[in-house]
Amino acid sequence: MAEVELATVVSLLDDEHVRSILVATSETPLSANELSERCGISTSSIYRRIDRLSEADLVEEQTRPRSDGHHETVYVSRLDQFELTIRDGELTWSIDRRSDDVADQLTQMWGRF
Amino acid sequence: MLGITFGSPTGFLAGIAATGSAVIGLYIGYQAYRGLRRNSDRSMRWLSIGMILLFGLTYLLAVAGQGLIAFRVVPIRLQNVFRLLVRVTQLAGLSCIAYSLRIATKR
Repeated sequence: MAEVELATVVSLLDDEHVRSILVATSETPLSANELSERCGISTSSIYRRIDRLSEADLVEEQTRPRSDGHHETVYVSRLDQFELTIRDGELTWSIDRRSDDVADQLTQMWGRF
Repeated sequence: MLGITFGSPTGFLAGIAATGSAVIGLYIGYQAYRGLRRNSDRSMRWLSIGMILLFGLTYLLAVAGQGLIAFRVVPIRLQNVFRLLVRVTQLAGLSCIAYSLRIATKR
């Protein structure tokens, strides 16, 4: 798991479009074009944000077969939970990423039937 | 029973298929158990128990029953008792899986 700094996560989440990207790709994998349509910003702006999100390991690339036989790259959010606690003179924070472990996938899938 | 008789080639193939189902069924059951440990998800407990009953225990009962009868440890008239045990275990396993699905979809 990539080490990431609190400042990086906070500055990422400070961006409204980053949040839209994370929200949209938490539900279904989306391509840069689809994200651009949803968020109402150019694909180059989407790519810039996706790069930063990938560096922080908060977004994962996948490939999706297209009807014309080619593949296209789609993005999936990996951010599950971000928690910040300030208590008794101490600041702690943690970030949970969605797992690709079979057992976790099974647990999630089973409830969706 | 589960078609496990080792006398003929088809019986042998049936035995291999039954063993394959048991292995794959237990693998899914094992992943469900890991899901329970990792996510403390109650539905995974019942899925895991169900898969183990449905594929593990029925297989064991069928093989044990067939073996005991083949080696005349148990008289052949008890074959139906083993059949009944296998069916009851299957029913129990499926009930566990159905219950697990019910819990999971209620979340």
